[in-house]
Amino acid sequence: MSDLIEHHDTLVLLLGDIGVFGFKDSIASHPRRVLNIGILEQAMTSFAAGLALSGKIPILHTIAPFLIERPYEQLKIDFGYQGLSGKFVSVGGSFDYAALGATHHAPGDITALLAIPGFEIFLPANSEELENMLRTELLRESLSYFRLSESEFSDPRLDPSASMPQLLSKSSNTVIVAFGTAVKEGVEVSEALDLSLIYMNAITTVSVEKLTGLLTSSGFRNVVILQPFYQGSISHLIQKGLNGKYVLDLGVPRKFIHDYGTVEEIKLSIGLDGDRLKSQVEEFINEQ
Amino acid sequence: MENGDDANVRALRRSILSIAFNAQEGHVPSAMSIVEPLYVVFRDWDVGEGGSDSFILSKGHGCLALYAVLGNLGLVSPEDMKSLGSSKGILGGHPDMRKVPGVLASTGSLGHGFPMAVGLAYSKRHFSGSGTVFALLGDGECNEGAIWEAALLASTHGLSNLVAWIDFNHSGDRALSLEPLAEKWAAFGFRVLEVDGHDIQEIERALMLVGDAPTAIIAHATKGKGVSFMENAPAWHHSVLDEDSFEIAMKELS
Repeated sequence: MSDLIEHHDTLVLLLGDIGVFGFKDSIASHPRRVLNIGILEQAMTSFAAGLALSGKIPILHTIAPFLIERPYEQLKIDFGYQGLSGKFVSVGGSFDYAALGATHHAPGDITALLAIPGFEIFLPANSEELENMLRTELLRESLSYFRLSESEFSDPRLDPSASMPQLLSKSSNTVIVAFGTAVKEGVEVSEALDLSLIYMNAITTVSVEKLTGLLTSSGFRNVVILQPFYQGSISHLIQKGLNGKYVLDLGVPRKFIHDYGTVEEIKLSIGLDGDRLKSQVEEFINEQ
Repeated sequence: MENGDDANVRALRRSILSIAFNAQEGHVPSAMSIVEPLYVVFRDWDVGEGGSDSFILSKGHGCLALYAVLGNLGLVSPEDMKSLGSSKGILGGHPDMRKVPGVLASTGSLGHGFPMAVGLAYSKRHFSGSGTVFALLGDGECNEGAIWEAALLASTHGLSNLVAWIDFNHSGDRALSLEPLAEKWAAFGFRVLEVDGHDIQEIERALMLVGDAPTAIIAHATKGKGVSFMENAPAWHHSVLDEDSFEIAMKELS
């Protein structure tokens, strides 16, 4: 991102006192366009809208709950309603800050953003994808959310340059549609049970249409939605593609997580670890 | 004897009444308390459509005053002035920047306009090199935390091209006391001026002092100014004018 900022005067990066060390060189070389703005997310978001009013493209970065949930109305009105361009880059996924507790979790970010017309959502599974997405999207006049996680998953089948549904394997009439970082578990379960697998790294009008079309035309009988955020965040968007199919909608349960620990321990406690997912999917298939 | 400014300001107030009466809608007293600063800013600064200066009505519910000024400038048509809040026109109970020429920000949810103005002032100061940004806030709006977050940003970044005009009509008194308001803005790094918000000459003098530091102008004003039965009468905050009250109010402002 530093490279893009270096070469494009329209970009202004606002850091909510997070990731500052990583951008120390950019802050030194472009102090007016790369700012550690402080811990005031509501004003930061409206301030960014003010920059956008003048033709700049603001990029905002902090931990997901503070980027999306705290200044939610500013996102809705100042960017959504006013139709301004802005780029929101979170960190922390759903519960990457597992040891810090639920104040730092944001499994509801996608549900929240999908309620703001115009938001395009990008869910990179690894840094190469992120790099490509930023290069493609940052300079575009649009309202975008990049959901970053500390977990990194690579697979030679993933196309880092695509923000479209990717059919990674087609073997049975049960398909797992894995969103973002959940592709790791998607690969694990699909390989173990010999299932088809679609990877979705973006939730945009076009990618959702493509996925709906793919589900409609490809003859899958069972669909497993696997999302690393709240369960049920996505299914309403692809309802047409799910018509007439058996659907298992898996994701973070809609309850507060009071446990601390590692990400893997949290996944175990909410049933999103590979083994538990495998048994849930197996049970689902056997029931049909 | 009445001078031209007084006559113009009275005409704007009558325009506010007409917009509201035709629509049977609108926050009339909130608009009445900000007529003079809007009149002076739009007359003396380049804040019109595409101008080098910018104006954001942070207390969006005061928009009838803004519409009256924009109508006077020819930016809003007489037909639109008669169709507030209807499906036929472009004017609503809160302004939409995507519809109304001269409206820079869609405000109405309090606490948004001023922080946007701070971002815009930052951009003008550091990237485009010129232009003053005016934000008009209500005193009740100063309850919002985002106002003070933005005030911190403005002073931290030395935005001397920013003017926060605080319409101190005491509408927020029934909930929270803001006093000492001047000291609060000063503590947040603003140069503070206090004026009579209905005195054109005081307003002009205050605006001539803008430029050395982020400026907060606390304008002591009367909610419902110019209409005797609306002045400082909370019941009129969002009440509808019937024919009798409209006629009386227009007569008082004739």
